[in-house]
This record gives sequence, C-alpha cells and structure tokens, in this order.
Amino acid sequence: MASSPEAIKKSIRIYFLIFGILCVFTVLTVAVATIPALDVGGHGFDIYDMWLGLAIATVKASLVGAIFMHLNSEKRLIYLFFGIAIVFAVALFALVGLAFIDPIFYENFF
Amino acid sequence: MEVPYIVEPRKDTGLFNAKIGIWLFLASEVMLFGGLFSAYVFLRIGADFPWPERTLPIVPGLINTFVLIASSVAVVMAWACLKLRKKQAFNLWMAFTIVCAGIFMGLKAIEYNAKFHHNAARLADFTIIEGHVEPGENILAFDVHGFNFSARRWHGPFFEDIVEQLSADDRNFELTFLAPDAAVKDSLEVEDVIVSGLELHANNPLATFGDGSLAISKLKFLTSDGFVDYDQVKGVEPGSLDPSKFDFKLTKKTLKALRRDLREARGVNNKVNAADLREQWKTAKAQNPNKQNFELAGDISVRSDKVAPFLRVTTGSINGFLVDKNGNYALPDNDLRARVAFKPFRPLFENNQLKDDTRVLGSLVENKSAMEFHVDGLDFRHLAMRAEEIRKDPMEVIEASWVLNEGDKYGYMRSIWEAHKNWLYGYTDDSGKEVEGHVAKLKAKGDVPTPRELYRVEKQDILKYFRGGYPVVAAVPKVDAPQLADTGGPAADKLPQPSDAELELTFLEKFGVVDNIPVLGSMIPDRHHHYPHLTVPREKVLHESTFTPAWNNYYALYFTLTGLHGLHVVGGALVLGYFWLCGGRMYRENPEWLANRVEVGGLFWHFVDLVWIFLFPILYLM
Repeated sequence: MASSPEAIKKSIRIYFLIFGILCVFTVLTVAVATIPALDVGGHGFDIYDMWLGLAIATVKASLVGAIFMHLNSEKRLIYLFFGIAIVFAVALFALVGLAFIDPIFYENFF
Repeated sequence: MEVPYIVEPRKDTGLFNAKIGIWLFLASEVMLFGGLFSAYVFLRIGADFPWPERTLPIVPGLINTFVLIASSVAVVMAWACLKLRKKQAFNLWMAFTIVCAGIFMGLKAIEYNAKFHHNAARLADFTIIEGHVEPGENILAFDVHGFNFSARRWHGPFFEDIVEQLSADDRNFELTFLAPDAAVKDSLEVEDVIVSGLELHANNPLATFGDGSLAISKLKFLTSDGFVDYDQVKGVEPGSLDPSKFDFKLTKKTLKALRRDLREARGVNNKVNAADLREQWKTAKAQNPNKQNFELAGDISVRSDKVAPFLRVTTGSINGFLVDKNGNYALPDNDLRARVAFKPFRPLFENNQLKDDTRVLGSLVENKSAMEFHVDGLDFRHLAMRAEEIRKDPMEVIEASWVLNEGDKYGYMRSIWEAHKNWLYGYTDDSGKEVEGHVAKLKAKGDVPTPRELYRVEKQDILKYFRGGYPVVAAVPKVDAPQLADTGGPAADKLPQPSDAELELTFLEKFGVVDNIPVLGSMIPDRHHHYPHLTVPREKVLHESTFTPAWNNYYALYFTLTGLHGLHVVGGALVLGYFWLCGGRMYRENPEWLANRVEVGGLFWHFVDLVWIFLFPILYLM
C-alpha cells in the first residue's frame, strides 16, 4: 500500500479514474437492463441478463476492493481473513444448490 | 496508559491493530450479507408466485449508486489528504461524505414512504390490483358476534379501536376460554366468571370436577386489576359464585395478565408432561433392557389420567380467547389483513384477521366496506400462472376475470385491458390503417413476449390509455358495452375524464422516483384521483397490503436487505462524522493516528458501497 506522499499523490489520480470507471459501469448495467437494443438474450429479464448484471457488479466490486480498500497490495493475514469469509459466503450459496437435488421434489418420491 | 500499535505496525502481523479488527469485522459482514443474498436466491427460485422483477423505480437507485460511489472516493481522498497533512481538504472531503450519506438516506426515505402508501390487493381469482386507497374513504363495517384475541400476542391499535367503540357497560364481557382438553373446557363453564390457573389436588381425578365435590387448592379470578387469588376456595362449587363480585373489564392490563398466566400455565404443564414421560422411559428401560429406544417409543405417551390432576388450565389455546359481543363496529380501512372464511365448516363463523392478529368474528357489511382503488397497476401474471397450471389459456381466463366483468362498474378496467390487447396484438386505427402489434413485431425477430408484457398493464400505460391521448384508445369503442348499462354505471361517454393538465406527470413521477410524495403532500397535491377508480368489495379481496414485507417475499427481502444496508450507512456516517468533528485531538497528537482511524472507518464505508453495488442490480434491475 502506498504510504509515501509521492506515492499517495500518484494514487489520487487512480482514485478519480476508478470513480469514472465505476460510474460508466453503473450506467452500463442500467442501460443493458432498460434499453431494448442493448438487451442480451431474449428481450426482458432472463438468465443472460442475470449473469451480465452480476458480472458487471462483480467487476465494480473488485475495483472498489482492490483500489479503494487497497486489497491490491495488502498483508497476507488480511487476504487470509477475507478469503475465509468469501469461502463461507460461497458455501452459503452452494447450500441453495442442495435444493435442486432434494429428492422430495421427485415425482415418485412418495 | 499508552495503547500499543495504533500507529506503528505489530511485528508479527505487519499491521496496526485496528486494521486487523476491521477486517475481521468485515469478514463477518461478508458472511452476514452472503447469507441474506443466498436467502434471496433460495426464495426467488422457490417462489410460487410471479416474482416482481424490475418493479422498483430505477432512477433513485441509480442516483444512490452514484452517491455512494462518490462518497467512497471522498473517504479515500480524505484519508489521502490526512497522509499529505492537508487538514482543511480532509474536512471538506469528510463533510462531502456525510452529505452523501444524508442524500442516500433521504432518497431511501422517499422510496420507503411511497411503498408505505401504495396498496395492492390480491383478489379471490388471483388478479392483482395495485393503486392507492385513500385513508378515510374506506371503512370496515362489521356485523360482529365476537372477537378473538390471541392471548399470546400483543394487541395494539386495533384492540384500542375496538374497546373505544364499546360503551362503558359493554366493556364487561363474558369470556369463554378455549381450553385444549374438552373435559377441562366443560368444567370451566362457570357462569360469567373468569377463572384461571386452577391447581387441583392430586388425589382428585379431573373427571369429577364440576360436581362441586372437588377440592380446589387455588382459584384465581380475573378482574380489571389482573388476577386475584380467591381465598376460601376449598370445596367451593363453581356454579355458586357470585359474578357481580368480579368487576372484569377488557383492558390492556387484563390482556397482559392473561398472557402471563397462559405462559406460566404452559410452563407448568410442560414440566408435568415431561416428568411423566421421563418416568415412563425409566420404567420401560428397566423392564426391557435389551430393547432399542425405537421399539419402546410406540408405547410411551403422556398418561392423561395421571397427569391431569397436576395440569394447570391454560387460558387460551392456540385460538386465544373469545369475546362474545354482538353489534356493529367500524374499523379504519387498511386494518384487515386477511379474511379466513370457515364457511364450509361453520357457516356463521367468519374469521377476519386484522393486522395485529386480532380476529373479528362476524361478517363484513360488504356494501359499506368496499375498497376504493385508484388503480395504477393491473397485474394478471399470478392469474395466468394459475391458469397455465390447470392447462387453460391464460387470456381466456383473464377475459372471464371478475375485474373485467361484473367488478368493472365504470368500464375503466375493460377499456384499459382492450387498449392493452390492441397494443399486444395490433388494431385498425380510425383511418382504416392496420397497426402492427407488439407480439407480431417480436415474432418477426424470433422473440416472444414476456409474461410481464402479456399479463401486466403498467402504471404509465394505464395513464396513457386512460387519458385518451394515446392512439390505441380510438379502438376502445369495440368493447362490449352491455356490462356498463347492466351495472347502472355512468354511460361510457359520460365517464369523468380528467384534463390533460391534471394528468401531466410531475418531474419526480416522470422519472419514476415516486408515485406521489405523501411527505410533501402540501407541495404536490394528491394526484391519485386521476387514476381510474375501481370499487372492490372486501369479499373479493383475499389479501391486501401496502407494499411492505406483508405483501410478498420479494418486498420482505427488499426491506430486510435495504434496511440492513441503510443501518450500515447510518452507522458508517456516525463513525466517520465522529472522526471528522472530534478527530482534532488525534490529529494534534499524531496525524498518523487519525489517518489510521479514517482508513479503518473508510474500509467499512467502502464495504457498504460494495454491498450496494450488488443490491442495486439484484433488487432494481433483475
């Protein structure tokens, strides 16, 4: 992480650049959801819109994490904490997947 | 005492302590929001109703996204300014951040407020009507023969409403307890007296209670001061008690006493039952040492004859307790949550659930209790889904729906639906020119319409069709007119038509920020009256609510997620505001100290931004 005055002065430019990129992505995510010409997949909301929307959000979140939260150059310990949290959060999502293999929904279950 | 490692890093971690702390906290936050998001996914996949996708106004959400991104930059700039020892600039960036938090919460408040004042009703045939129901225009007139208060719940405004409407004499009630055990219930038919908490002697079987032969160790009476012990109770015949001694009034206090008594009685009963089971298990295990638990389990259950003498009579079963009272009562509109009619089972026993779970027993006087909707959304998606489930053509079922036929007193809904169909399937305009419909246009591109396009008429379309400025309306006279005449409504050409000026959308409405702004009511007059009216008798309404968690899972999740996020915004603003206004001492002592604090507060703020980055597309755009 930059801590010398010169490095910080340099990174200030990056902060504003990231601000611009984030705004552009925000406009983009609204545009693909509202402007019919830019709609991916069939028109209206569908699974392609979902993945595109989530992908844009993930890129935005990564930029905030990497630049604003200085995750691009952090100590190992913090990566460890954050990594474990992400693993658990993903595990929570994976639990939802269990619903798909729940045999109670099989037609011949009973 | 010097606090260590607030500026210089610890050797083993390489970080100052607060940073370790905030990252541990953020890790827990990731899991908290991760759990909520996965709950969202789970409920959305499993939803048994059409998920209301893309219904929230996008513009305020978009503005809020910009606001939060800008505030994130501001926080990181404030930190950079501290590092460069520019205190003035730091103050400005911090102030900007706090202002951003204020704007964010302000917009959220407007958004929430619009939801709190916007109603929806699901009719018996799963048609959904959205619109505004004006307070004061609607009352619930009940022909009542009783109330059912659940002793387990808190009774708020509705309880007071009901009690308010009773004359002083009426406040003395005959209460009937619904005890779980029939024998106990019979024994409780003590005339006009409120009895609770009976503790019976062990040597007297319950079956003989009621003869007066039973020795009762403790008898309590409910009065307006709560429960009172009745002293010389040994050998008392319940029927011989003088009811006039017990001045019972239905007040919050008595309700509270009932609730407490119920809780105590349940506690006692649970213990008694558990003790009996434990004893049986012990004996059974001793007698059959070689048998498995599951082999024994079938023979073991609570021996009612053994435990009965020890059981306390509970003052309410799951139904709570009944207040028998005949009469007519009017409740404010919007109080009714659901009508649970037990007509097949008990023809006279209609159970109306109010919003605090009070049940009003009796029927609504329908012609006095209709809901006056100013319709700004007509949604047949749920109806269509149900129709498809039973292999019927949704469009046919919609045509036969109540709201387009006998319910449509003024013909507004029918004209709107016909205009919508014209838009969907095309029509011939006045000059004889064929106008292509939306479905055909899509088909040419190899696409199909979404259920939303097919079965839902949006607010802006209703305004367009209704105000007559839209070309499609020219085709409306094709509508079968007889229904209008049949219902005695005004003739189609006599329908009150608002002027264009009246229908002009305000700036905020145009951009979908709000439907109307009740908070600013004096500045922007109420405009719902310009939407088409629809009178919905309560008997047609299965479920009605404002757009709050009570309406459906989507709104429950929306309020949970954005509410929790909003609390984070407020919390973050408080912390950053503290560093901004009270950070002077830290700065004078060691600028790095304040810089580290701001960095840590900033990390939290960025996380709040990060959550919103996901919330915005998921709730507003998907």
